[in-house]
Amino acid sequence: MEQDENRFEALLGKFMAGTIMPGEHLEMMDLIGNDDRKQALYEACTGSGPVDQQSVEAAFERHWQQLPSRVHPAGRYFVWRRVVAAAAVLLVLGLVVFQSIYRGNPQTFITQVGERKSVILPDGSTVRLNGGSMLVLDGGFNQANRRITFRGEGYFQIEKDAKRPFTIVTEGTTINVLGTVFNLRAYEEEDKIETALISGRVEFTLPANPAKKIPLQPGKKVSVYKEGIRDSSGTAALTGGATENYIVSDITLSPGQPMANETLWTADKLVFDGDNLVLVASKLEKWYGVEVKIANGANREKKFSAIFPHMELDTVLQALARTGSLRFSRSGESVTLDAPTD
Amino acid sequence: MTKIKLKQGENIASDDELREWQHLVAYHRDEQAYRRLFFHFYPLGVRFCTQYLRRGELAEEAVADVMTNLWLMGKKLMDIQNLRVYVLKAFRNKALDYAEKNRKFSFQEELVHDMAADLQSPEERMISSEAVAAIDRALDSLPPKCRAVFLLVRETRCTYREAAEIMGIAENTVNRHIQTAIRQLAALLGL
Repeated sequence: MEQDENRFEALLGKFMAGTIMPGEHLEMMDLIGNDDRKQALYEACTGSGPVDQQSVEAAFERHWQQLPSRVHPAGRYFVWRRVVAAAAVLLVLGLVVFQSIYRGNPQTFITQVGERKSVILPDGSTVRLNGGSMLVLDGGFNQANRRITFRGEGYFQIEKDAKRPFTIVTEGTTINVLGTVFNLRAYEEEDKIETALISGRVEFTLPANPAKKIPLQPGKKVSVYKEGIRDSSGTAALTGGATENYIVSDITLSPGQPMANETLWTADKLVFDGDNLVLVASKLEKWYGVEVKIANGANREKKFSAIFPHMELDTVLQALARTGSLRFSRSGESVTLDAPTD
Repeated sequence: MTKIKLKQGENIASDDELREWQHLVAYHRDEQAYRRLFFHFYPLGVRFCTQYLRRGELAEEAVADVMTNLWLMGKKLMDIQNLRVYVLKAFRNKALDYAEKNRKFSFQEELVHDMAADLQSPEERMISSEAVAAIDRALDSLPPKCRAVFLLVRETRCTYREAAEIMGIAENTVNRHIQTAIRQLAALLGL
């Protein structure tokens, strides 16, 4: 019997070390047999402690209340950009103070170019902001309504609340959200506004026809062209005789990537998805906090597709140049894209 | 050599799940994922830190501190290769830190043997059944360091190497602690 005990304890040791062989494991279970004492010892060595979910739940609630939700921004900026940003912040602060006196308590979230961060709105929704974005909560947000004004790019995870639909107003479109996850790219200086729906439901309306609600299905994206749809030569054209200025298409998933191209930026990957040179330049500006100019000779409608994980600006520029479709010059924080030589 | 998969406890997340939550917290500031991480680490963390701190509230505070740091790391969170080892190591360091600052409430890792038996700690509040209580009383009688190592290996799928890294001791010492624990538990559980 004594030998049994020692053998059992040795096997249990191997079991805990993760070095037990299948045959030995069977032997150990045989030794346990109907022996309550061995069974208890086996359980003491293998079971994890019991957990009272409610006490953990309560601990989490306390913890979450005290948790600072700020994230430290990372990025490089020009001094003058900081000055402009500071001025903008002051202006916004002034507006906020002014508005809060008259109509509730609006709040503003801003990212500078080259900066990306996440914010949690008073209703519990979270938004990840790409560089150069601004999100303004309307006065009375989360009381009577949930309405925001937005420009830039954001990955929205909106809390469901049927009583207070979430509305996003951008320069060229208004989006009604009913609890959902989606990506919105709406920079003032870019010619299209793109909404990619990951899950849930959204409806959007265009300023020209606010009564017409256009629903969007998950897995689809809508591109609204402010100046009308252009063909590849850059001249204004409406496809198939359509009188609308938007296109609905599928969101795209690249092989080996964990999420749709439209949202990969939230995993710190810079993505060009059949983007023309103008959009490439704009994305580079927002991503790296630099100024990107396009020389007159360059083909502005040339399209590029690529995914860059955590790369220096120079590496990305060199990769673009290697396509043979452009060359670049960079001095400090200013980049010029030009037609290739020869 | 074929390895048998250890510990299938329902409260224990797989490494893949941990990695996913780590990613969601780092890049999306995902509250749900953070909550899951918290649920994964908190109960064990409190048990583990209680090995070093006499008062349960101190252990809870130490664990909350470590979790807060995870949240504040932002994207840097993704620099952590093995979150399980990192967090447990952080628990131990934080607990030792607190023990140093609150000497009269703390255990000396090597010296105290059975003070744990009269703990009014959160882990005691978590005990739900008689059988488990018997096992826990037996565990309480182990030397604190031995018990900490035993809990680590039992509850976190730590390999001996990982446990050694977390505790700052040699792999052989981990093995010795486990053997001691098994022998002592065997004696105490003489039903």
